[in-house]
Amino acid sequence: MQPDLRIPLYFLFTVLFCLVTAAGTAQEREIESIPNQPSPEAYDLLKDSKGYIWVAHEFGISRYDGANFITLQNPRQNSISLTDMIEDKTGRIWCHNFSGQIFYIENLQLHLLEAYKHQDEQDFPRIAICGDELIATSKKGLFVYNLLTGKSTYHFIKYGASTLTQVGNKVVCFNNYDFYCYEAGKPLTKLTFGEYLPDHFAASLQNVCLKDTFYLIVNPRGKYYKLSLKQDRILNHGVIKTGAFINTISKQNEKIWVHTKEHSVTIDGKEQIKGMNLSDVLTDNLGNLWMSSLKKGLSVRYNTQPIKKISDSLSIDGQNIRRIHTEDSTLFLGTSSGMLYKLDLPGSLQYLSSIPKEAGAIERITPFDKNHLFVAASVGSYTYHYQTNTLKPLPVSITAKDIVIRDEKVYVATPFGIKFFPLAHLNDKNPPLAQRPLFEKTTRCRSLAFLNDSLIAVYNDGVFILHNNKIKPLFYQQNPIYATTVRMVGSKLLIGTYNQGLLIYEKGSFQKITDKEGLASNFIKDIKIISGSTWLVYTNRFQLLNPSLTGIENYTFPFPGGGINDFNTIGNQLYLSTSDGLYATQMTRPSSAISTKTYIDNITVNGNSLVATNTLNYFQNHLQFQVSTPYFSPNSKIVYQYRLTNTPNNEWQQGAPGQTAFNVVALEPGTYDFEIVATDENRKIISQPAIYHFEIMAPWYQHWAFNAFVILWLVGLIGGAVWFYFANRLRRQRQVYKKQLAIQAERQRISEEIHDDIGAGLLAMRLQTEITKNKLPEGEARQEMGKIHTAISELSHKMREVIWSLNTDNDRLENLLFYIRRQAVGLFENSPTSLKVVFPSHEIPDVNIHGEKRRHIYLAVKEALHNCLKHSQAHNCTLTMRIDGSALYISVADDGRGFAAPQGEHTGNGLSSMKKRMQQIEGVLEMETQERTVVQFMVPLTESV
Amino acid sequence: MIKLVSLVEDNALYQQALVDVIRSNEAFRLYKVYGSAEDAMDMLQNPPDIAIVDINLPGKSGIELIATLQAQPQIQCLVCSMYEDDEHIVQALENGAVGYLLKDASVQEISHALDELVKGGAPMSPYIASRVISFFRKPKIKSENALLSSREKEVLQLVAKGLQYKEVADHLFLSTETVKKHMQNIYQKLHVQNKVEAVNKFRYM
Repeated sequence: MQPDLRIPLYFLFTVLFCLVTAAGTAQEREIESIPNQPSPEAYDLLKDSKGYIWVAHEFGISRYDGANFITLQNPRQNSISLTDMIEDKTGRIWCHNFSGQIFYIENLQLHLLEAYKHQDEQDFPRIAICGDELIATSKKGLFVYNLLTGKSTYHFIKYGASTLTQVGNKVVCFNNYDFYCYEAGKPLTKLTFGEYLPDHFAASLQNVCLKDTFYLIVNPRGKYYKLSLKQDRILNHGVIKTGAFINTISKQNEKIWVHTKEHSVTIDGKEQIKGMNLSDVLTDNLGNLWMSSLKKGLSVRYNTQPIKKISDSLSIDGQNIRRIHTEDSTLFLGTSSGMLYKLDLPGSLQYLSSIPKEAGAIERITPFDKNHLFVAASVGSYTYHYQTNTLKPLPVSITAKDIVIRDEKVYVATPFGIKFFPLAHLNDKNPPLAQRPLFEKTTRCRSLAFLNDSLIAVYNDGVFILHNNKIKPLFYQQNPIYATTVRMVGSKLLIGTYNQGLLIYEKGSFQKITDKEGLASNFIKDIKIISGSTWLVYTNRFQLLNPSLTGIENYTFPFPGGGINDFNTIGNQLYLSTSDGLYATQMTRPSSAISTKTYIDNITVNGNSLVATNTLNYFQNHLQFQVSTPYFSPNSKIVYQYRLTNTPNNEWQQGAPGQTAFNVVALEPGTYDFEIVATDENRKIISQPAIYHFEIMAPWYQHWAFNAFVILWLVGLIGGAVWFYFANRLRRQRQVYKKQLAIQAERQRISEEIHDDIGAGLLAMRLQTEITKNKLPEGEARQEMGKIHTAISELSHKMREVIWSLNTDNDRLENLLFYIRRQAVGLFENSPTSLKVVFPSHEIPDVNIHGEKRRHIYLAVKEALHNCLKHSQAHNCTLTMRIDGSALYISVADDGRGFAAPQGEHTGNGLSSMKKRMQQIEGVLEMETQERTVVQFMVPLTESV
Repeated sequence: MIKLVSLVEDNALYQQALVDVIRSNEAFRLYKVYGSAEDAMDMLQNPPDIAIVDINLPGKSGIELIATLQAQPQIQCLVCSMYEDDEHIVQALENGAVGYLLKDASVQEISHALDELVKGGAPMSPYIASRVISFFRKPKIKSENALLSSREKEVLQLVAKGLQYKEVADHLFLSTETVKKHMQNIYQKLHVQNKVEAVNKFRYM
């Protein structure tokens, strides 16, 4: 008994102490040093017009956007350390080093101000911006640089100037002897200081002025004077001793801070920061207090709800709180060593009871009935009775992963399937508990929920629906669902999966919520429903679903390091247990106003920095955007989303957490807008977007003028080719035609000459011989004359044939047919064979038949007629000429003995010559020598010029 | 009654042969012999009953002569020519020839022809007669239309549209020379003197 009592008492006291101390530092966070700083020795602090925090330090100057530092340097720096940052109206930040150089930052680059001749200086300058002028102290006096025109002048002062401060629109400088006043456009005036300054060699002005008051510090004695300017006089309003070396005096809003090595304190004494050795303090838009420390660098006190550790002691001996259950205003805590505690609020931690050591940790606490809590241990299950404060094991050992109670029956998800028992049997001594698993399915079951009358169970091999003693798997897109938890919220079944985020099942259809909708992870470890709110639990964080179950509520929580065991809420208060303790914090909704903006720091095109243009060549199509957003939240990190408009896919793309460089590659020519915006980890947009408009020019070979030129050129080329072709063809046709004409003319000439001269002569001779013959008396002479006459007749006949075939006037089918008929009639005139000519009955088509062809046809027909006349001994011969379609048919038919009759007589029948003639004019010769002889010629008629 | 026959024949040999033929027939008497159409104009002053006219003569053609001789209607013109083409036949008959003999006719045929002429006939060599008959086989217009080759018709159609020879030539891928040649042929075939007449005649075909 005794050890059991001692341990809880010990805890009780320690926890009570912790709670009291936590209440003392009410709701203010601790000062944190920013990790990964370029230097721990920070000299100056500036919040620029965009909202970035700048810190000047031992190793240069750095910009902090809440996530990353960018440190700037210049190769011409003669010493690295920088300080005294001032931003001018155009956004340039001015500063100086400790070796006499003045610098300014423009477009994230550190430039040296050449006009200030640092070679001539022995000491470093102090700078101020007054109106449009930068004023710096110099060995020569005051250096004045016009920020608009870039012109600079020196105003000479005997002994120079070493420190200065801006007072209204004037600048007061001090050279350890005298004070001078500078005002733009006016000559320097020497100021009078009525008192003697004993420490004037150790005194320096601080560039700080509040309501006419400015400050002169004296080190190492650690005192400062409050001064003011009245016309040409400096008035002393008192000296304050701090007792420590004064680092600086700075202004935060309307407060003056005096920073010494020991502590920083406001002049009114209301605020102080100890032990930081600060050099500057300022607040940002969100009220975070930023500090530059000479020993901790950039530090911050965030203006957000702190997370309080309310119990260290529960983690001792390696045990920690595994499970938090809330009821009204009471927390029930189950630990890894099997102890159950109760924390009444506001009140004290109370040890309740323990499960046996062999049962292991308390894994789950679930309300059971009015009097009992169900406590699932690593091994076995217990019930806790409120009244008796006792943990009793269930009558039968069940290791419960999840339980659900329905109709007075308890269903338990176990490593060996689902088991159930009636609630009424809980306290029976020997209850007939169901030992058999439900539906005989003995695979590991993790979670249970009732959807109407169906029991939804998460098994190792998927989610199943159990209804009316039937079991069937629930599929999402035809695949089994590998899940961790099922819970009912209203009429919706929520399924937390291993890698698909959250599935919401309602009325047979699914809805899916993933990291795209703002889930911190697609692996949902658990779903907790706490007083109507639905929480998603991941391995090291959790999120609150909105009431419509479509996305994440806009809360961010300060998560302490280490994995989260469990959490719970009471009202607005969140309790959280990790491996090193129990924490509490207030749930506060961050402001939904967008107070920051995303900036594009740098653009590189094909690997080179882009300078002042947004028109790119066609090959400059690989752009990288380096972006940043001043966003200072201790609880959330930025995730960017970006898109490129004017592309087929202009959906928002999600960057990776921490990604600040974004590439768009292989862009086609066109105009684009690159748009990027910052979101917090709930995917809520927290910044105004940065938009970069740019244009990629089409390459020269896609330029319309070039294309038009190419088209014109092609058209010209084709036109030229066509023209050339036709001109050439025309030329050739002309040549051919000319040739034909020449041949025709020649033929005509020959024919006419033969006709007119030789022909006329021959015929005259013929007639003459006939007359002569007739005159001669009967006898030899007359016979001889007759022979001559016949010979001349034949000759003239032949000649006429020649003339006929030569004369182009006869180049017509009609002429040919008439001629054939005439010649045939003439041939048969004095023969025993009678000739019948069948002439085309209808009109003879107007077809030209050239001399050659005409002659071949005529001679072939003549040959056939001759054959008939000479060899056939026929009585009748029929010459048939007809035109059928586009062919001329001429047949010579006789009733004689035909060609083949006497052997050896075939030499003279001219068959071969007929064939040859037909071949030459692409005609066909057909012959039939059955009872009668038929020779048929077929000549295709092609009309030609 | 003996008929007077004059000859118009340039070929001396044939002239002599014809003279012999006429002399061999008692029904006729040789009146005068001319060597050219120009000389034969004399017939207007000294008209014979029958004039045997060759077509192919030096200078003016026999057809022109026949046309001129129509001023003396008592002269019957008999063509005796080597030409046997339609054009000459038609022209000769149209211009007033009453008979048409080919020069390959025999003495007997010439003699008969003269006799026939006296009897009021129209003597013709058989081939000429068959050609003349064939003209009646088809409509005249058609035949004139058919005179033109398809290419000539094309040329004429384009000319009828008002195109210049150059344009016609380009249209049909011919040279201007060729087109001119075609047009000359067309004039010849349609018996016209110029383009306008050719087009008009072509339109009424």
